[in-house]
Amino acid sequence: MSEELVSALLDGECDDHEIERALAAFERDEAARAGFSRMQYVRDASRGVVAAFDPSFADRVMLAIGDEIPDGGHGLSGGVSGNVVPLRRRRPVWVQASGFAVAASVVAAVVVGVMVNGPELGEVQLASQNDDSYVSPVAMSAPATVAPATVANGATVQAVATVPQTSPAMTRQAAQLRWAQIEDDQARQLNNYLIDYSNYRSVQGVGGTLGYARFAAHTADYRSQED
Amino acid sequence: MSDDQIDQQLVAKVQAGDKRAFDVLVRKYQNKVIQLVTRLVGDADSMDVAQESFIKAYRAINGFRGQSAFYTWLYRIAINTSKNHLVSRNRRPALQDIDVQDAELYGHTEHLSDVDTPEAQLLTEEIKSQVAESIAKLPADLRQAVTLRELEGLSYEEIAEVMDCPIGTVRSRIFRARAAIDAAIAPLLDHAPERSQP
Repeated sequence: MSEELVSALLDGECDDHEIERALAAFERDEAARAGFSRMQYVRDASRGVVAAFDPSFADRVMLAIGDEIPDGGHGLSGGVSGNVVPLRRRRPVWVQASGFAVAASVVAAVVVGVMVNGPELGEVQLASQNDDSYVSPVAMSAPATVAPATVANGATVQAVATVPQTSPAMTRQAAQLRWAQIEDDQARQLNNYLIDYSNYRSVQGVGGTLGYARFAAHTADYRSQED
Repeated sequence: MSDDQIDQQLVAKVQAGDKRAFDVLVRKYQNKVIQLVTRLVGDADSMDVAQESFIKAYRAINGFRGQSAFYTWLYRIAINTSKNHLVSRNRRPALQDIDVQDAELYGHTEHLSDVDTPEAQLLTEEIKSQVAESIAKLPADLRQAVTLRELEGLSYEEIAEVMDCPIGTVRSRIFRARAAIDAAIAPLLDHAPERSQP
């Protein structure tokens, strides 16, 4: 009777109650389990499934599972996925080598760029430090607030707030001073460039790439198109 | 109840902690998974990888929500496990990279049987022949019932209508037919070449 039930289970022709009875038969009757495996194998073989018959396969799986409890229901753990992941293929050596060569070229270009522009940047910095007319925004900050504080022994100390306070007017004044330091013809070139650049950028479709040209043209000997 | 519905019921029982239901699922799909894995990783490691696939499926079964058929979900795990195995062995698949749909199709594609082991092919052919011979020897009512079920794929209810008999009778006839076929097949399976296990 139990084997007939197992046969019906093989066909998916059991109701809930019969499934429970079939599982009970499965648990207590080794012959029922073996019979199910054979019937399934015959069915699969008849339908073209070619596989070695291994009657102890399921027993080994269940033995390996042991008393283990499935993981929690929030996602799949241990890298197990219900989605097929692409096979990780090892990249050829030449691809790895070319990637390294590109990275080395970028590093070399950056080093060369720093070596070429480095002295100029250094000179500008030194000139700014030695130029007495240059007033930094920080130096022009308003004096820090001095607040007397009394400690336990009655002595008064000066608590000095060192946070610079810069007003908009002072910032504007510093900017004007900085602008005056630029030589006239450089200012003219820059103004011309900015005007032409704005006109050119207004042309539809070319605005995306010219932001970079702005830096490149800053020190270039630029002449406006009207000249 | 359809095959998929039965699977859903069994999965629900496993998720509720009933390991007997997982035993049924393993026995139901082990041949297909072994076939698939053998085609991906080769014969030598196929049993280990197939076993690992089922263990992974068990551990992750609470994440199965039934959006796809259980066997599709299981196939995906088997394919991923096979791929991971190949990568860990620094090997490439013997065949082209395949997807689940391919895997389901492979079982019914003749020319891909070339990758199956000669022993498995021989056993399968012998079983097919023996099953046909056994069915031919069955009494007419048993032969008709099992043929309608196995070859035509009819449900018990449909078979009962065709044969004009109660569903319980259909169930009994199919079981008796299977028992007769099993008696003829068992010697073949008992003498099937043993797989070396670690």
